[in-house]
Amino acid sequence: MQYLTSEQIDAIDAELKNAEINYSHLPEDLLDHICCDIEKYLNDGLNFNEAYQSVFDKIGINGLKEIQEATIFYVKLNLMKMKKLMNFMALIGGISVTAGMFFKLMHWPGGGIVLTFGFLFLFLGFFPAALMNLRKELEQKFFSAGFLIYLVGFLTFVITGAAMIFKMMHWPGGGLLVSASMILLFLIFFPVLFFKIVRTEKNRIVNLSLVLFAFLFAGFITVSNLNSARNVSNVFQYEDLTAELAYYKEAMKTQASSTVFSEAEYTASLKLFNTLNTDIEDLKSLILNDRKDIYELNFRLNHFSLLEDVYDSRLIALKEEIEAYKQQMLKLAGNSKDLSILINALFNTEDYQLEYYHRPWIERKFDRSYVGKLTSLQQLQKYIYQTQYEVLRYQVLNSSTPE
Amino acid sequence: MKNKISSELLKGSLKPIILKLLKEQGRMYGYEITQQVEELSKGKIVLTYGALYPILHKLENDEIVITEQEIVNNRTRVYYKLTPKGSEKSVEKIREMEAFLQTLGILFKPSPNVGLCNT
Repeated sequence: MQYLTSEQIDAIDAELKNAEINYSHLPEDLLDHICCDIEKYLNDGLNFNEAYQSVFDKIGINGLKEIQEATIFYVKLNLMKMKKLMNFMALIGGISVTAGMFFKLMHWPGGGIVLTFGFLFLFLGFFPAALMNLRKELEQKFFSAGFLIYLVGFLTFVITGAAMIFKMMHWPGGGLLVSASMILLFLIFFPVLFFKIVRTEKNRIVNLSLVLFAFLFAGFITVSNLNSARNVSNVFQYEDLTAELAYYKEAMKTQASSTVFSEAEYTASLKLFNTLNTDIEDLKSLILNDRKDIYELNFRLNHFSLLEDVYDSRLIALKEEIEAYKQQMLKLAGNSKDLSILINALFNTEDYQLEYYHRPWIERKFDRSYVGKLTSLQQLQKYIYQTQYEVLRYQVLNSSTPE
Repeated sequence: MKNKISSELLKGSLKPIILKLLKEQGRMYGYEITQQVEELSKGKIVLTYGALYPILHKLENDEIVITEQEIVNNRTRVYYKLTPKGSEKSVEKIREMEAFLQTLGILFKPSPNVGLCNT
C-alpha cells in the first residue's frame, strides 16, 4: 500500500485553500477523501501526477467550490426558508403596528385591532422565529449558559409586548406588566446587552430585533404618554374654553335685569352657582399657584400641585356641589326637554364604564397633567355659566310669553 | 461503462443508504462510505463528493451524526458516527425505505399474462 508524502498532501491542501474551502470541517473531509482517491490510483499503477490529474478531472474546474456551496445550501435550507418567513412576519407586523398606532393617534376606528394583530405577529411570530434562528446560527443548546441571555431577552420582549397591548387596550393588569417589563429592561436586559455588544462582534439578527424593538418602544412611549403633546392641545383647549366662558359671562349680564318666571328657585340656583364658581376659581388658582401664565406652567415639569391626589376632599366636595347644582337647574328647566338634555349631558358625573374598563368620573376629569386639570376646571366653569345663561334665558322667555 | 443508476432515481435514497451503512459499521469516514457503497452496489451507485458531503454535513447539523477527527497518514481524517438520536432515526428511515421498496416491488412486478390464464 502506497501513501502520499507530506509534500504531496500540502500540494492538495494548497489547492483547497486556493478554492477557498473553509466551511466547517469540509476542508479536512475533502483533503482526506482526495488523498484516498489518489492513493487508490497510485496502487493501480499510476504515478502521482497522473493520479492527481484524474481525480481533479473528476471534480471539475470549479468542482471544489460547488461542493462547498452545495453543502452550505443543503445544511442551511431550512434556515433560509425560515429567514424568508421571518422577514415576512417582521414586515407585516411592523406595518400593522405602525398603522395601528397611527389609527389610535387619529382616533379612527379599528386602530386597536390592527395594533393587537401587529403585536401578536411580532411577539408570537417574529421574535420566537428570530430566537430559533439565532440558536441555530450560534450552534448552541437551548438551555445553555451562552444562550441564556437571548432567552432572557426574549422573555423581556414578550412581557414588554404584552404590557404594551394591555396598556393600549386598557385591559386589567397592564400596570403590573409595565412594571415587570421596566425592571427586566433596565436592570437586566439593557446592561447585559450593552456588555455583549461591547465585547463581541455584531450579529445581524440581534441588531434587527433590537432596532425593531427600540422603534416599538419609542412608539409606545409616544402613544401612551404624549405628555407634552397632550399639554399643548390642552393649552389650546383651555384658550378656547376661556373665550367661551367670557362669552357666557357677557351674555348673562345682558339678561340679568330681566324678570324671571320662578324667582325663588332662581335665587337658590344663583347661590349654588356662586359657591361652585368660587370653588372652581379657588382650585384653578391653586393649580396655577398664583401664576397667570399657563404657558409657563406647561413647561414646568416638576410643578408641585396640592391637587396631586385625585380623591382630594376638595374635588369630592366639588363633585357633590355639581350634583346639587344639576338638580336645582333641572328643576328650573321645568318641562323643557332640550334644556334637561343639555344639563344632564354637561353635568354627567357618572363613571365611565365599558365591559372591561371602568374609570370613575373624578379620575377622568382630574387624573391628568396640571394643564389637563386646569382645562377640566375651566370646562366645568364654562358649563355652569352656560347653564346659568340658558336657564335664565328660558325663564325670561317663558315669563314674557303669557303677555 | 458500468450500468449506473441515474441520480434522479437515487435522490431520496442516499440518506437512508448512508444511515444504514453507519448503523452497521459504527464509524466511517467519507472515502470509506463511497467505497462501501460502490462495492456493495457492484459499481452501480457511485457517490460523488458533491452528493456525499452535503448529506453528511446536514446529518451532523441535525444532530443525527457526530464527527471525530484523527490524524491518519499525515492528514486529518473525519469519522462520522450515529448519535443515540441518530440511531433511532436511522431505524425509522431504514424501515421507511424497506416499505417503499416493497411497494415499488408490487408496482413493478411483471404483470401476469392474461392470455395464458384463459381457460
